[in-house]
Amino acid sequence: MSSSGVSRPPSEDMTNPGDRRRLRFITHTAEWLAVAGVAMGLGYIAYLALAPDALAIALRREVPGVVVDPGGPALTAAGLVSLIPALIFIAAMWSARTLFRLLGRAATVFDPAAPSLLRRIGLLAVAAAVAGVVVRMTVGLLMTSANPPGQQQLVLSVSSGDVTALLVGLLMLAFALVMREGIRLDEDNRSIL
Amino acid sequence: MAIVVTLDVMLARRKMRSKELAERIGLTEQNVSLLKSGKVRGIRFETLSKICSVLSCQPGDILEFVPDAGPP
Repeated sequence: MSSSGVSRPPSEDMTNPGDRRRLRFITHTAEWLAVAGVAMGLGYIAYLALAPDALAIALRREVPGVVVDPGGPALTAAGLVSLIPALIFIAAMWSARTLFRLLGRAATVFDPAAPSLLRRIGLLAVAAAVAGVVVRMTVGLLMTSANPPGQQQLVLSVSSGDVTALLVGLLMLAFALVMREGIRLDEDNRSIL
Repeated sequence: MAIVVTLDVMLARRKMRSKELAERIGLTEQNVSLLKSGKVRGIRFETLSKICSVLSCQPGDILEFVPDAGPP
């Protein structure tokens, strides 16, 4: 039942049953991959929380210019900051899981909730791209904070992953707008009997 | 609205209930009710053709043009 009041059986949504089957397969597979992504992200955070030495080693490896171990609060702060991309990743995976579940199980592919989920994933991807640059810079500053004067580092790097995340995010934001227009057209079509 | 749906009049003439028409043309009873009340944006030729076939009438028997009251 659409907001226009005109009802239509769900089977009319995708005229090709093969496409519907393919969509169900893709969304079902992607839903489980997203759940696995969430589990991996949580596992990574739990591992670093339970093994602080591993976190310190990982941070030292990430910033090669560490001469004097910052130790204590600086190391803890760097560890916490370095978890931000993982948290964004978990949030994005959870939103992706919700979206795939919706597309696979909803009666209509033009569900009104889909554009807002796409938009959320897009914003998270853009945030991940920005966070990638900012976190590397902040971790670099914190990890070299105990270095002698003149040997502290301000790392400013943009990786191919950051650019990819940014493009994927912008693509998602564009798709969200296209999806919103698709829903409007679908509503219009439903009100013609 | 300039186009008025007079399907209810034709149904009364043919002594047919909305439910029967809905079943015979493949629409839900709710959609036929919306069509009767004119609360739809349009009607497909396919649907119009089915209605005319079932009610043995012409499109003009179920659709009427009423000019707007305001200035042209």
